[in-house]
Amino acid sequence: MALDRLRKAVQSYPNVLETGAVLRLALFAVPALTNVLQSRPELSTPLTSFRSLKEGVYIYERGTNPYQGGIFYHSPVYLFFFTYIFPISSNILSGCVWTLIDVASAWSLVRLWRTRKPVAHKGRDGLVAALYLFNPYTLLSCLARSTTSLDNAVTLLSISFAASGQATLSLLFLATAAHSSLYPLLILPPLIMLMRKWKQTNPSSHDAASIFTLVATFITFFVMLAGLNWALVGSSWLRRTWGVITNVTDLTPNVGMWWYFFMETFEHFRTFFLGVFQLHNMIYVAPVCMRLSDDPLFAILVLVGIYSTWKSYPTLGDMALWAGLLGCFPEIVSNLRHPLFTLTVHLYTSILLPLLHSLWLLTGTGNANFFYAATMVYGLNASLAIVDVMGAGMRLGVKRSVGEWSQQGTGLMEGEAGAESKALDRLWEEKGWSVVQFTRQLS
Amino acid sequence: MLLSSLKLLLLTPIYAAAISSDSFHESLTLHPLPDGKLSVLFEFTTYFTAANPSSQIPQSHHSLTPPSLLLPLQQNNVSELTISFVAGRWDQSRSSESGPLHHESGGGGGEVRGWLRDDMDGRKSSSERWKSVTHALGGLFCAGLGPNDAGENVMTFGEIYPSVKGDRANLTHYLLAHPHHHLCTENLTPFLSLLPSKGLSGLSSLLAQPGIIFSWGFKTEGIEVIMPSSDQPQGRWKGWWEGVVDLVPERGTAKRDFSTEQLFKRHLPRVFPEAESSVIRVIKPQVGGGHLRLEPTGRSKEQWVDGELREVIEWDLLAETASLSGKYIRATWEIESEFKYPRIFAKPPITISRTIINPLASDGTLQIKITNNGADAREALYSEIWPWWVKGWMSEINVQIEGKGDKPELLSDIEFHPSTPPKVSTTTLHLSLTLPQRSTIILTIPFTKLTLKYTEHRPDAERGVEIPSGVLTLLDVAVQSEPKQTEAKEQSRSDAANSGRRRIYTDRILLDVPTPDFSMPYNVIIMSSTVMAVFFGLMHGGLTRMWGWVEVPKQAGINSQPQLTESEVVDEKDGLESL
Repeated sequence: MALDRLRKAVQSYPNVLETGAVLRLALFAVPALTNVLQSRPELSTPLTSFRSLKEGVYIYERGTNPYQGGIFYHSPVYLFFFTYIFPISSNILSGCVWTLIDVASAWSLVRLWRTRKPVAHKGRDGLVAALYLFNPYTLLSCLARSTTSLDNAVTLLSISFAASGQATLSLLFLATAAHSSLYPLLILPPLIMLMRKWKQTNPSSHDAASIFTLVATFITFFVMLAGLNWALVGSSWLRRTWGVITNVTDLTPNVGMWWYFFMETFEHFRTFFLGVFQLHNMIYVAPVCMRLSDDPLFAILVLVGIYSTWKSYPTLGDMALWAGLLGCFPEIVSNLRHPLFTLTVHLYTSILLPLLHSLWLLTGTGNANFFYAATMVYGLNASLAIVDVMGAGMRLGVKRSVGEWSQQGTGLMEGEAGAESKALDRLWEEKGWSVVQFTRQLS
Repeated sequence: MLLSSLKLLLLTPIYAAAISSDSFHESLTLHPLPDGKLSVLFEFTTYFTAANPSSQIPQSHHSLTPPSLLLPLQQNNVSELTISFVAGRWDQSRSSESGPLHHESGGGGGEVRGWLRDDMDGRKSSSERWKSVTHALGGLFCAGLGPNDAGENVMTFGEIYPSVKGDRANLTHYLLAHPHHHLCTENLTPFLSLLPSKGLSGLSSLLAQPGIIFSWGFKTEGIEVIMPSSDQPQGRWKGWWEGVVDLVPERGTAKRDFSTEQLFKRHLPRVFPEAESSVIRVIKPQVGGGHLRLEPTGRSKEQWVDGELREVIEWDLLAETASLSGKYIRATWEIESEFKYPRIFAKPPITISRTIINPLASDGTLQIKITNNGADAREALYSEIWPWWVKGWMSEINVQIEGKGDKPELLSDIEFHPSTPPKVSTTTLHLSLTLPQRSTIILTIPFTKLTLKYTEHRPDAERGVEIPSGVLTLLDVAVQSEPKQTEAKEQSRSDAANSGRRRIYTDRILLDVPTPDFSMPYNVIIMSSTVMAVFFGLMHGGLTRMWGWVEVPKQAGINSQPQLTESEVVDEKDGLESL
């Protein structure tokens, strides 16, 4: 009975948004909890922590440029936003802002889901929102007031506007996200592909959508934001925001693979390995976009997963963005090879990370290897999950191609999304078919 | 011609001696403290005049002054310089004094600070000259005094250590703190060799006994040099050495009587012939000072010492050579058969202590307690120096009065000069405070220790790193050492603002730094790269290999081969056409 009621509640997404907002506001009323979460390195790095942002705003309000010294690595966009628009000093107001941010993310996910499955969306709207809003990673990042939540919201808005063909808005949000954390730049190519795909399916639209115009629009927004920053704080922010993201000068432990590597690596190899680590994030863009060109949103999903795991200052909130996007791909989820493994290792690392962190950095009884081991498990698991998702996409592609070819799938394609994939699975089960990855290279 | 120049050569020293006002003064001050200890301060002051730059005979004025000290200062255009070493801990509550007798001694460890004149020629920047002068003097004092990196220099302490000459035009202030430094015998020998008496005669011969004076508890040594300039031809350099002797053994009972012979295991020496004054003083304690009997009787006078009008007994060794040399000065406590440790100590006007609360391996909070025991509110500046990896949170600084709750209005201004990590640099912080009368304010400054690379840790990384002392600068003190003759009797015997002590120091503090595993570099490179390679390999395989489908007949067992025919191989993209 309760399960039925829950299912019904989940079906209407405004209910889910309301529940998510109320839950957040209620938890923000417990300062003891938010204070503990704010100091967790898994949820916020020095680049995204609320404490640093508050400190920067405090220094800026006293008439000093926070980028001139100390550690303030937040984007000037956020500095101005929280100095002039929403005064950060008020706990109630900032709690409301972060709640609103998460609701906006969930809303854009629902929009994204609707543009993806225009015919059969009703049943899953609420579920997509709930998967994002009640994901513990999202919830905890929000309660920690990490600016990762803000980055996520801006990125999601950008993707959802791209999927619905609103190119200008989409590129504006992407420029903001890229200004703040730089890595969203990597999804610009699939985002443009997404917008062009929308143009092809809706030829009646008047929106200009040649690649050149889109790229030019993006550059204009990006330069405008940079100019705005420049006008307000000069060039000092460059080295303190993008400089830190690219050069990894702050080695505060986080869940990523970088901090211990660059703490331990030999000084004369530093530049080389910086290049290797940064290039590693970039090399996937072209092949993923080429191979997954028929579904740019799926390419975005894979790339978001890659940079959430391999960026220089990742947090658990970045993984929440990826998991939220994954909620829009139920047919991929049903084709995963080892979802249970991924999930349990996430559970395992969520115990391991705080435990080993406190051993090293709180009680001072362990050493850095403890926390490093936990981040390695986390990183490996996240990497394997991305590979699994990509494989699932490939398998689904084969199944669909075969379905079209065998003419069995016709009629089913128009049906509900869940039903389509279920029917496809049943057919494959009956025939005794299975998708395999061959050792032969693509010709 | 030759004859005349020879004549000049022979006569110049005589002329120089006749016109120069070079003079040497020495003094020894003994100050019994209420907890049965005795503070012993040696001071050696030399006044000298500027070298005449056109003089044919270089450094003729160095008859009393050491060229090894003054030459580097002259060459590097130094206006004023102070070097201070402090070892041990000054106990403010039990000594009833805010700090040692000598007011110029700095915070814990070593410290060098000074004013540099701007170089008119602009050949060398002031930081280069500062580097070379600190390295030169570091060599002289057998102590690493120079900066390892230019970022270690602190340049925002000019207000706290104002120029003695008063004129700040064309001057730059530098300060370099070495809190890890320890005062030891190696620093005493060069100190003695700088003195004109070389530790061989006069009061310095009492000091030249490392075996004795290094057994004392708290110790401070230092020099203060004021170089002559064009408008002020007379310079001064002053050396001091202060120690605290425990007169009463830790166990058992004893009297706290003392004599110079008992302290130095020597009779009073003969006067150094070049000395213009040579004085021994005893500052009578505030509590029970009337019961302190001194032999032989000396000249008694009243003097302001650190905000209190005190009775000081003086012996002039120069005037009373016959009666004192080869003898000793003795102090006995009348009506005290044995020393009883007091239960309550008189409180010094200001006490300050600094501790770390909520200590975590990566974070902490500095708690500074400042007590004003006086009847008046005081204006003060509290300053901190941190290495770059200590990140203080300015927005979270809190001020409260003990037992009365938050009082943010007491903190009127924050002057924050953040470091620029990851470059070696220093953070300095100056807090303008009001210290209300008869109350304790508690200042809390949360901080985070930034993560260091494994090469940036000190060799003994597990031990931690010393953080320099905090400095409380009192802004309302005025030196007025002589009592006003007219109203001396009516005047109160205590006036906290009438003191030469401008600065009160906290202890230095030891911060432990969370360390990485120093044996891991190869392992970390290998393991992280492996994870990256696994990911890259799987992605590469997934993206470049062909995906297809096979049919496994239903009745086939586990061991049977799946029936795979070429026609069933399909690539999702372009395989359909081939079927």
